[in-house]
Amino acid sequence: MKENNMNRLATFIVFLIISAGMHAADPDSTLLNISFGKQEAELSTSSVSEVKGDDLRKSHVATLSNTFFGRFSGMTTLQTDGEPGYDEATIYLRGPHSMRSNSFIILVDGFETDGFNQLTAEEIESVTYLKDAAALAVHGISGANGALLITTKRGSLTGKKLKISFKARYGVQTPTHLPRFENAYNYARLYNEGLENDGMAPLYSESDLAGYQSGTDPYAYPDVNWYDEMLSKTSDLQDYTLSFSGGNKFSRYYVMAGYMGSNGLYAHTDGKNNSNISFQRINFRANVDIDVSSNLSFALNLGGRIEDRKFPNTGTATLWQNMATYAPNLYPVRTPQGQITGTANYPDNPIGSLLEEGYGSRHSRNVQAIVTAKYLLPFITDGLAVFGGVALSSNYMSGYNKTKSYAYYEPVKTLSQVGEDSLYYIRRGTDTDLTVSTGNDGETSRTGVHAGVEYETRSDLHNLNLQMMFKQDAYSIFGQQSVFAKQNWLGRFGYAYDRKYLAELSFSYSGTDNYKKGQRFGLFPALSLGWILSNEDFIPKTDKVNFLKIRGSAGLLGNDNGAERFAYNQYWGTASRQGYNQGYFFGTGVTFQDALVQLALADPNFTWEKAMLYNVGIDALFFNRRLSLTTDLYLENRYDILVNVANTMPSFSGVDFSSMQNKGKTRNQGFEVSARYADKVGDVNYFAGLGGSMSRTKIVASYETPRKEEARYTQGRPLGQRFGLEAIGFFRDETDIENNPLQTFSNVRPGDLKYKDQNGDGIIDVNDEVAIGNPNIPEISYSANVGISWKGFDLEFLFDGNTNRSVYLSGYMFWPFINDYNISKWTTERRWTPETADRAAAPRLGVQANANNYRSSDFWVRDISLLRLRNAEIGWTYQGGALQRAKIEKCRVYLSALNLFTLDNLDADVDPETLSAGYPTLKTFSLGVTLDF
Amino acid sequence: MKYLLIIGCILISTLFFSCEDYLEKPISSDITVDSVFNSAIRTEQFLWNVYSTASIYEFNHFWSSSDPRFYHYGASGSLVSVATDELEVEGTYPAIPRYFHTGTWNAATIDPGSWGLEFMSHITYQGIRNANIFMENVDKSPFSENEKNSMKAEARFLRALMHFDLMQRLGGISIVDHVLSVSSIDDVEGVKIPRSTYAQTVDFIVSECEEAAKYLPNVYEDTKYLGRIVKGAALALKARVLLYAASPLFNDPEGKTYVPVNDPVLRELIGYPTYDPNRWQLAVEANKAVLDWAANESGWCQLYTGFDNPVDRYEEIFINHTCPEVILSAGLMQNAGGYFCLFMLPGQIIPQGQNNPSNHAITFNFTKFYQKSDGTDQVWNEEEGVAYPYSQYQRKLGELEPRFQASVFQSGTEWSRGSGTVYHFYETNTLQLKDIRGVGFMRKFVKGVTPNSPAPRWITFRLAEFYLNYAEALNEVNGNPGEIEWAVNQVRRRVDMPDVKFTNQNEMRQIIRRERAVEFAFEQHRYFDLRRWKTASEEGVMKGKIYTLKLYDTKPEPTYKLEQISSRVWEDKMYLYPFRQQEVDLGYIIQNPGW
Repeated sequence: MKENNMNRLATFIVFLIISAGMHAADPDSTLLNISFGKQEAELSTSSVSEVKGDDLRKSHVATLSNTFFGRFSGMTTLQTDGEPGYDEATIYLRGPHSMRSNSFIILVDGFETDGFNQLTAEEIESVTYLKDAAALAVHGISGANGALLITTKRGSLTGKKLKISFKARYGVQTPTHLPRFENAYNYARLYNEGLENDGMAPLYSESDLAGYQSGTDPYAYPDVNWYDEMLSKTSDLQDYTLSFSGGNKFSRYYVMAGYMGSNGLYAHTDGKNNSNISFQRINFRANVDIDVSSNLSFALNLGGRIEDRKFPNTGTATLWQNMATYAPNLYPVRTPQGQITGTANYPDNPIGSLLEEGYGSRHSRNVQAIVTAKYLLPFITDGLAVFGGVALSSNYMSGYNKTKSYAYYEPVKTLSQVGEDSLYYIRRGTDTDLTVSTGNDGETSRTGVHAGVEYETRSDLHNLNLQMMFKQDAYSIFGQQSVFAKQNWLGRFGYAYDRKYLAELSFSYSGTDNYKKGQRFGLFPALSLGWILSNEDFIPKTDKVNFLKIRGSAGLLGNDNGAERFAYNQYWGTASRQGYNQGYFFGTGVTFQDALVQLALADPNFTWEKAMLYNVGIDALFFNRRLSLTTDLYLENRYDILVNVANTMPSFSGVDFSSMQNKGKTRNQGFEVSARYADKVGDVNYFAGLGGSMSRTKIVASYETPRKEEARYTQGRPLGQRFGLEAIGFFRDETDIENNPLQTFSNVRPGDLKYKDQNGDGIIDVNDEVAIGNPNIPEISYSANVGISWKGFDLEFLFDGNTNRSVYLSGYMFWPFINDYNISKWTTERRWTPETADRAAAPRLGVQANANNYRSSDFWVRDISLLRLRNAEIGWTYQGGALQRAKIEKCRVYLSALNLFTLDNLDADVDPETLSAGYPTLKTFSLGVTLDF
Repeated sequence: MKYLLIIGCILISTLFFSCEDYLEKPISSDITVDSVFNSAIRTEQFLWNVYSTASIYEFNHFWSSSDPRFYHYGASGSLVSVATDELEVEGTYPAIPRYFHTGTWNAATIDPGSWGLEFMSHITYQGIRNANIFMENVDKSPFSENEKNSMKAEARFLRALMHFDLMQRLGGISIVDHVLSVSSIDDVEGVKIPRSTYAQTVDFIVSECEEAAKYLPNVYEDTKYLGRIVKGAALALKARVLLYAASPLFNDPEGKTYVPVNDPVLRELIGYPTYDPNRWQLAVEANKAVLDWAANESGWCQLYTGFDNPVDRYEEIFINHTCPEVILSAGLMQNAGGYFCLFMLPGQIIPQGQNNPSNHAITFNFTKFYQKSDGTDQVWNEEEGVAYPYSQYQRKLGELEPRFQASVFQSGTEWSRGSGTVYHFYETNTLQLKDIRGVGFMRKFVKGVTPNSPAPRWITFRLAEFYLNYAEALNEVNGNPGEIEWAVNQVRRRVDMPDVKFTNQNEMRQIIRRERAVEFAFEQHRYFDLRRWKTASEEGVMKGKIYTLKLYDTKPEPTYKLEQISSRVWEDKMYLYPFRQQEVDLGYIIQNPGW
């Protein structure tokens, strides 16, 4: 068996080292978290970026990933939603890598986990972002997309025996942006304009328009702004944590409990028959270290949380869409009798959806328990130890819903015999009692085991450390037939000569259950080298250059994410269509015969994605260690990406559904720079940090659908490239239309978009599409972090932003009147009319989905750059005096603001990050206090 | 003390003894290729899959059906006949008015799988692949030799039907008669099969039908197998293929093409380069063979002759699932309550509250094809835009022949006969009948349907077709006039219509074409007939103005006016469909002319 050879190899190496008879390691140096251990930072040859939990906590948010903005160089972080409990940031580690999955692995205290967003920043010691092959190689088959290591806080013996810390924070939130839609009069007026443009008769008469304009009869001529009806001015967010840490000679502990509560923006809710969005979370942690003897120690980590979420039964996206799009004159909010209105076509009066349908809730309980032991073997040799650990985690989710339906009243306007309007209401639907249902239950659990041997020794000239270990991990999802299992044999051999020349070889021999027997394991080696120039004699020992290291790494990694399960098997089975099993009806009735179907075509050689990663970097300290600088340059060649090669097959092969094969390739290049300068002038301490990164991923091989025109291939272009027509203005008049190539999407009229005939074939169709704009994921990210403190006062700002990104403006914000939806002021102000033809910045109005105007073209694409003040904080710390008598060591009060302002170049009435009129991104003003006992 | 280290290492290594087991896929109920064809039940189930992916069924479907395998059955939201002068619809779902009426379909949009036109060649080829898989594996199954041969013949027929489905739209096509190996990207070059000529495609389908007919049974004794392929279906397909192949679009008397074609290779792909009158003779024989099979061999197949009233008799063919006239038909995937059927029902009569009815409505252009019951033409002297009394509308329509009464639900009649509830379409009510755009609603197929009843069956072949096919072909070869008259009059007598008389070949041709329109109204025949006759481009057929008789709720009495309701775009290149651009871009397909 192969593994036995590996064992022998490991044993051999261990003995080799022992016989070399070196001295034990000196523990006194800055340590960096690496996978499954720590490493002296100066001697590291890897590219990593590490941020302390205390820094992350400065951003007052509920979700951990939202504290990452601007903190890590080489991480692209995008906010896509603001809904409490569902607002995780989208994260790319060194940009996107693959057309398939870009999800990466996350380890909490050395064990893989699937959810990290609901950990509280307070319990976190540090988050370490592993970037290059040297840092990632030990993760082998799952490491190519990068990794985050989360290390939780532990007790320590330094300082006081018992440290107690209480932190409280309360924040008030407002939307960063709410789009502006038209009122009823403008809606009716502009709707008539749209009808006229479409060649139809107006819908609203002069007297209707007068009625809307005067606004004197809110029932006959309603004018509703649903935002005003539905929303409070503010929402709130609060959190409290209490922690204890300390220890004695034999044991150390860190214990923490925290509560976080956050509410949504809806008004009028009572929490019983209906509910605002709310998200409440309790986090707790107990990390204990016990030294049983001088050689044997145990560590127990117990972390857990309770998450409770509530929300109206109508989905948040739908509710916000209805608020934005329901025409202001559709119906009044309620009838004069106070009943909810609605129509057959628009039954979902937002107030009805919020207040009359009950609410839903989700509850989840999560526990992660880790026990590890370490046994030193000084009787063999100093620095040698064996270790092992077990981790169990479980996440249980359940739902509890209160549901009801309600009667709503449709206003009907008729013209009576004498020509007067009369208004009456038809009842639709029925009122029902609240019914309670439970469900949406689910459970995920994970079991991890690892064990290994490590050795570290140090002499004047030689510094050697090595680690060999085995780990395995099984992840199961309730209701799925098979668990997701992985195994990994990994090792790391680090050697430094004279603290000048560094080398590290690491490897992983890892596999997963998803592949065919005999093809499950792969070997993933990485080699890295470093040279500490500042320790060379030819570099003078001055205060100018304190430390200078050049490092480089190369290695092979894998990515098994994003593939179908067991795709090497050719499956046959029943397939369903719209909930109906596939089959055929024979006989006179509807006698259904189930059919057996050949399912997606198997690829017997199905395997994982592979990536060759190359990285060079510099770490340096200058000017008496006041200026620190790290820079990295990298290249990744990814291959064996699963692509649907059926696209390139003639259709008569009959396998149109999909035929996934490992044929895709990408190339990702980029660099990162981060610098920080910190100094002190008298009583004033200050620092300034700057970070910037660039990442570009190109598709090298994609096997895409054949195109008539070369310009339409994604191959050779960046991942996330948009394609569309090139708009060259609006048609002025009928002559202009006649004199230009035929546009085949619909019959065009003056004021419609005119497109460029890229291939010169005299007609405008999809073959005239070309690449437009930048990729949809920003290629460049930057951040700035500055702070100053004086005596007890401190002030800090964190900016972050990104550029080289294009976004596509689409949907009801920009395309009015589809389904009779409202029109945004943005559109009104920009629309084409014969009078504004010269300055128009949006096509003419129409009341249908316009197949010519509302299609992918550069007209709707915007390059966007943004800079956001993510965090601003001002604080005052007080020690001694009265506090001393109250046994309080230190007290800090502070004000902080999140997302205080944004600079961007987007000329659209939407938040530049979420780009939608859905639940908005929030601006938060918080007041906080920290008490240390 | 070194033993401790060794123990440690051993401890670690014990964890790996079960290495491969740990990553082994758990035993499950997965089905593999062997377990399919080892089992009689599963072999049969795979045959049902071949049926299910074959294009037997052509009713409309619901546009948002998530499974694209729906799409090659009919069009989204309306019958395909809406593309001809037969029908007009409204509503936002139907794809035909949006794309065919406006002429805004092309090689890039013909079948990308998203917008619900009536044809998706790549899905049809999936069905062909299923047929090939079945034919290549059925010999492994535990059935008897006879059963195997018979089942293989079913698959062979379905494969031929799917090739015909492609051929009638595209001309000569790539013939796929075995499972193409595409397990690796490297296979792709090897499977780029070029188009066969039109002649080769016809010959392939004809010989496949002949081969299948050898093994297919005349009848399945167990009625639960209604809908399975019988010998008559194979003969019927052959007969239809040969009729089409003899028709002017492919076999033009002067060898002319529908648009100018210079490339001799392309010329052979879209039809026969030279005329051969013998092709009509082949059609005569093949169609006569179907009639002979029905009369002498089948033991059951005949024109339906039940009921005293000819209206009931004709209606019954489309709602009685065991009607002996039907050679091949397909049941619906859902009961009548599904969207499939609802789209074909008038307004909101059944079920009430149905949103967005398509309101299939017969056009005035097509109404004119119906004679009065006495065999004479109705007088249609209405002038456009002039109001005429409602009573005249009722009288004129009421005088039309039984097949009109059975196929069309007109204003002033009951939807459900005998119920006493009479609908006047000009009246405002919640049933949305007022929205009708045509002369009357379509009643054929859906008469008597309720949301819970079994859905109607799509009729692929019924015996009446072969009388008229026979008459048409025989007329072209200057056959015996009495025999031609006999064939046409068999169909007319069944609905109590007076006989027609042969005068000359030209007039007889017009009589047969008109008879065909009326007999097969809305059954998707005309959509292809107009193409093969090259008459689609005539004004008011698939091109130009479409008219209706629109009702007005005027006082003192309601009135009607002749009004234009739509204007259809037709270009001659549309006689054959384009291959989808994606296929052409692969570089092995020659595109049809004009696209």
